[in-house]
Amino acid sequence: MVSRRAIDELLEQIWMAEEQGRQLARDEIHAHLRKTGLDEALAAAVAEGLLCEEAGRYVFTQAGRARAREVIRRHRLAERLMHDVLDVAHERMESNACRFEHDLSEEVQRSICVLLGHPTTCPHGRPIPPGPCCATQEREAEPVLVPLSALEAPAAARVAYIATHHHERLDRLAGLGLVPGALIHLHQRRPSYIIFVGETNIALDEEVARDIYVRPLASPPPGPPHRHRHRWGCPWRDVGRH
Amino acid sequence: MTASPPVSECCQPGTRVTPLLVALVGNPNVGKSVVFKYLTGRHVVISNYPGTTVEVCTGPSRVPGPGGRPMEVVDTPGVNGLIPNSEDEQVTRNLLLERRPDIVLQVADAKNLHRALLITSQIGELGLPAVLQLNLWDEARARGVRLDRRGLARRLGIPVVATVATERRGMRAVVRALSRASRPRLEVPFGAGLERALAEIEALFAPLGEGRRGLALMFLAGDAEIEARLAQQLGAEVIARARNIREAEARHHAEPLRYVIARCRHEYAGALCRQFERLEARGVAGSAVGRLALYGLLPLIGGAAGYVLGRLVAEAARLIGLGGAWSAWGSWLFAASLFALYLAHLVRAQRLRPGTVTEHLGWLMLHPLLAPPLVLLILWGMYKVVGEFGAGTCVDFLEDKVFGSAAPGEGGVGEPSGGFYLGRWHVRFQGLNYYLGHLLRRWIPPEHLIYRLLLGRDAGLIQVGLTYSLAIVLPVVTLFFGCFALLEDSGLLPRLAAMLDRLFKRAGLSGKAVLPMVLGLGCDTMATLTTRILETRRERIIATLLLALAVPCSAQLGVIAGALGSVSGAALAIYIGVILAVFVLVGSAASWVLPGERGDFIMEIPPIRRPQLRNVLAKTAYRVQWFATEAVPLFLGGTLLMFILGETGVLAALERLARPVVVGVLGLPAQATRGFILGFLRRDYAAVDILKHPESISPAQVLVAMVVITLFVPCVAQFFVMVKERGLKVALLIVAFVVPVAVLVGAVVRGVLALLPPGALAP
Repeated sequence: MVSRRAIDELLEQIWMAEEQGRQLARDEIHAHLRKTGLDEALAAAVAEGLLCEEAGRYVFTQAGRARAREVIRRHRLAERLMHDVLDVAHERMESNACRFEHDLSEEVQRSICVLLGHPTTCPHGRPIPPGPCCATQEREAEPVLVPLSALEAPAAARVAYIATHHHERLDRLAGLGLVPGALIHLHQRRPSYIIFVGETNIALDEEVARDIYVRPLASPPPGPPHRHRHRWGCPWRDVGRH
Repeated sequence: MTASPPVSECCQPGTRVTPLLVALVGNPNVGKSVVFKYLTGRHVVISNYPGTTVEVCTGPSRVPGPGGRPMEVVDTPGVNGLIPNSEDEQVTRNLLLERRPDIVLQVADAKNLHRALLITSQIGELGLPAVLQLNLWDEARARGVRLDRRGLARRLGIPVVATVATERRGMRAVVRALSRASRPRLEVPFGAGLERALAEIEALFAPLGEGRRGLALMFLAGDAEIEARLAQQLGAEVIARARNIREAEARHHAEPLRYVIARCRHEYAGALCRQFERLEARGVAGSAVGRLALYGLLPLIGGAAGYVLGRLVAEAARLIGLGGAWSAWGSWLFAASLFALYLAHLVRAQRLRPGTVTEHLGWLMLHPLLAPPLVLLILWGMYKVVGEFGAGTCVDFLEDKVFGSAAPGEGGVGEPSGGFYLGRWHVRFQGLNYYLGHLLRRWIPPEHLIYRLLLGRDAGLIQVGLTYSLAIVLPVVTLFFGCFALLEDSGLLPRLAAMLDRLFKRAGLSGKAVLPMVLGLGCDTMATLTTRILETRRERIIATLLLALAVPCSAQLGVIAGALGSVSGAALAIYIGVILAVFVLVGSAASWVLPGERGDFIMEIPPIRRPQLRNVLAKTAYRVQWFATEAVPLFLGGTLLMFILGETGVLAALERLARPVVVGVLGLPAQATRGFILGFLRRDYAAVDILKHPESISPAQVLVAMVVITLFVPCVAQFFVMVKERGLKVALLIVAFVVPVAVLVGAVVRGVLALLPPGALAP
């Protein structure tokens, strides 16, 4: 069975060659693929309808081009992220980006793109294929995602994604209603982070707060708005009826 | 699995109808235990923080169920979903799978419908009939949350009832609604790919019958326990095939399947929620009483906290020799400045975020600057009640006046000249033991074995065992549990956890461990059970170790506070300092040695609620009763053991054996060995025993003895719970670690005390 990884790798090579105006024959494809089974990868890509062979050279089908475009986009966004934000050393950037290109969810990819202000080129100067989020960038007023720990309290924000390797942490947060898209209020940062999600108040420590990426909202922290007591409102008027 | 009727060993077929099994399920801290208490009339501990219930409680219902059938009600630990994250959540899930209750009564927080619906949908997937009880309806209304119950009931296809369970409002309607329980109609869509995988796995699980969608989802989420369980039922090859499907599907998702499932569920529940929930104007503390309480009472409490703080600073200044520099004015200055600080905070907060008095109190108790004085005030108040009133006044009265001494010659044989004043009246009462001694001496001479067994001064069952447990320990424990129940029900404990998270991080624990630790100040045995709420095994081991080592239980604390308080405040302060230092040092050493990561601190903070007197009293009575049935027999057993050891001469031999350690290393009188032997039974008893002859032991020796007794081995009951929860090996290792540490710390304290100027410990 050919892994998705090997096919992605293959598509990436063909895309890069195409950018330089070349089409690749079997023997020109990078040597390191050969070890992991170049022939199987090629056969699988053809079988999946991603590539077709024309006069000994491999060209994209429509599906293949779409998929390659995503792979390239992920790779170059990852490079940008590591280069601009994370300050990863150049030589390690490449290998890390290679890993990213396979395992970046649609959502995180979009978040990175927004965070970086919809970059158009990678650190090597090659173009990043635009994604759907790039088309609407005019409407994103302040396209900055920040970890919760970087927010000043009090503040309101919307959860963008939760970047953690701990599945348990993800589950626990999800159980309390902290999922992408949730509206939260940061009440205080010390001695623990206290956030409100709906009517639930949650205390977190800094390590967890660092993993929650949020989109700060411009409006002042609403908190429960100022309202008036029900004049007629006996709170248990309708208790017990159903 | 579904074909078999609910298990009920107690019923003989033909003679009685099988009772319906009703399971109470819901998010943490929504009031399941209150409902359980209402239905069964049994006492269960109810508190205002998540994780109070860690075990399943079962009891027959007082009220008949649908069709007049008897019901068996099960209370379960709170869950946020049926794919468990911790041991207590696993308990609930397993109950639903193994016993397949006839009716699931889902208790929900009405102001948190979203999170409740997550569970409702999972109950539906398991094919269990349910009723949704929207509890805390009053709180939801006060916060302006309006729910369309009728619409919700139609949409879910199950009865939906609003209640305020603590006030029993709506509970009868819940019982009536049980007869209309049915399977919740909630089909969460999980997206095309996942649905396909789900359908394939469901087809493989066909022999399981109803509820296989739920099981298939748990399997897809990668729940190892479910996998093992299913492998037993369906055979390994079916599971292998299902696993292939799961792995193929997982490749299409960047996130773990478990998370994808949770997210789909959230989206669905969120959409439903928006349909039936409406936020309205909320009632704020608009009344004059509310405003007065807010601007008058809260700053006054703050000012009182400031005064106490000032007094403590003065005490500390005196201890290091700056006695005169801090006058009474200093305390008043502290009080005034804190009063102003609280007032300023409230005025500002009220403008930003108006709310009721309890809401403001809730925020104040989380404030990094303003909360610590309040916590201090609470601790000080508890010390006043438990330490001074309980261990001082109450114990003196009970021990000297009510029980008294049977020894002839004390209080004048024959003509009672003692007695005491109760108000203006002189009560000519010499104490129960005195009269008992008189009575007994009519038949038996005081030197006789039986007389000594019952009323002997050193180890008489009545004179020592019963008197000490009832006169010394019981009042302290009762008062402590009362105070503790107030703390629990108000919702302060989780706030304390949030406050102390950073400190606990040093000891390798997360703030969540505050709950078992504070509970440990009540009873370490109960607290060891509560360590289940911690997330990692490593944390549970560290918490168990610290409970066994450095957390004195209330009985012990009462005796120790009484003893050290009578020596001097400084002695008590040194004692607290030493125990805290050991706590942090051993905790950080353990976290350094034990592999694994520190658990996350993610904790729900419940709202501050006014404790209900009835619940506080009931809970205290329940715990005192538990304590009495557990501790009094141990006290008597310990006394009997001492008596036998003393009569056979083994005690003297042991004292000789332990002399090098007790006298040489710790510098204590040789009789203290008795106390340490008793420590194996109960630590508080050990403390009592050492203090029996206060005239023969110096203040420094009292301090050393109390430190060693506190750190010394856990009591028998705690040891058994440790074995049950952590396994025999870990429990034995902990004990093997604790004993040398106790002696070592005692030796260090002795050495340091020797360096202090003479009289530093004087009152």
